[in-house]
Amino acid sequence: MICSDAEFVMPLYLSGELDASTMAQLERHTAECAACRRLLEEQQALDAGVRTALLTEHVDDTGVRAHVLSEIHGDRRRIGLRIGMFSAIAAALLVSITLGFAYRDDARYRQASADHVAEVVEQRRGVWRTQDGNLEQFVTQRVSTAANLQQLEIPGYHLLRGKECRIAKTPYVHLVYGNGKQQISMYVLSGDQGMALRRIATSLLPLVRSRSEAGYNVTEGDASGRRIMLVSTLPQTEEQVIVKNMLQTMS
Amino acid sequence: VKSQSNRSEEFEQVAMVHTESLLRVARRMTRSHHAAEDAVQETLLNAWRSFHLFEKGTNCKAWLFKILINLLHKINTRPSLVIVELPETAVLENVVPIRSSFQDLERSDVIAAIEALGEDHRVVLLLAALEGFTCKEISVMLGVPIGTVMSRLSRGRAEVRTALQRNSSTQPSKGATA
Repeated sequence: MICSDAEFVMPLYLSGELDASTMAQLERHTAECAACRRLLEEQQALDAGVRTALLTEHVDDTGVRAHVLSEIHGDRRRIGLRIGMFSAIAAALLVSITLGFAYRDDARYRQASADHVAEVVEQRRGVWRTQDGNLEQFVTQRVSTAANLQQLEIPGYHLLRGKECRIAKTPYVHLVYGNGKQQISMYVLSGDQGMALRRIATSLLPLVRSRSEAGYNVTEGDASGRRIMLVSTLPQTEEQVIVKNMLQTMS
Repeated sequence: VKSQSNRSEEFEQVAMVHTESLLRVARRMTRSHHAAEDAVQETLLNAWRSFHLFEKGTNCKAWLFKILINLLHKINTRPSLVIVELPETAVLENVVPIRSSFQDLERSDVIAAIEALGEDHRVVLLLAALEGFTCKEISVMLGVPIGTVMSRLSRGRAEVRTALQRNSSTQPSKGATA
């Protein structure tokens, strides 16, 4: 090794990056060459001097740390707030879109009212399942609820019969309740109509609403994806209580 | 939000512990206490924003210094304010700086010698001699070949050594300053 090579590799020697072979060559060279040995020692001393001089200098990092930490924690709060706001907006949009979609067409109220008139009031057509004809099994399967028939009773009324029907092209289970004086119809959306979005929206915001159709009150309730419609001549407030209780019983 | 909280705790443990080292180097690079603080704050906040990109188990200190150096480079290339010299500036002559001890004298000389270096030489010397980074690590940080780092380091050491030798030959002895 010659002096220029020795001088070139000195930085690697000082940082401990020199391979064993080159290190041995450098050490042999500095053992023989007084100038390179002195240069190497001076560089070592210089590094030590720089370190000592600068490390003994007081550096106060309190202000910087405090500022950065406050920014970071502020950032975290902002992110939390953003997530919260985003979730709220997303939920509101979801509910609006879904409910808008669900209620955009009110044909089912008219059809439910007409179906009640045809099937219950005028008894024009239909093959019904009665208590004797395996009504319980039918309801359990179609309505998919853990509640038994007794629990599905409306106070003051008895479940008389049931059958499948279609309201606004959607399958429902039509249950007829009676108390000797009058009969009322309850339409239960059959199974899950594949509207996961509606299930989420109605879980966030259960709804019960009533309207009059052709002399009958139709009250619809939506909760956790389940939907029922009640058609009768009962006051709307009474219908709403029945619908709410029924939704609770079924869930 | 919880994961965000864990992330900030990790950042404090892994990155914030190097604040003092960053400040020490930044102060010598910017030659200004306030500019150094601003640069380190910006470095740490940049690091925080991209902390998800930091690979666990790798050298966080080297990563932070790379950010700092890039930042300082950007600051140096920003258009600077025009410095207007004030007329009738009072010039005090024959004023000898007050130095309380020989250690202070040495330190101030070392600092002066380092700050007199060109930026390229200064940064490699600080990273190697003060922070103990290897030539290879510095070459990655600066994005220059390792040979360049080695030659800058040699020249930087030589310049500081020369400056210190010149100072020591012109400074009065300790007894003379007392």
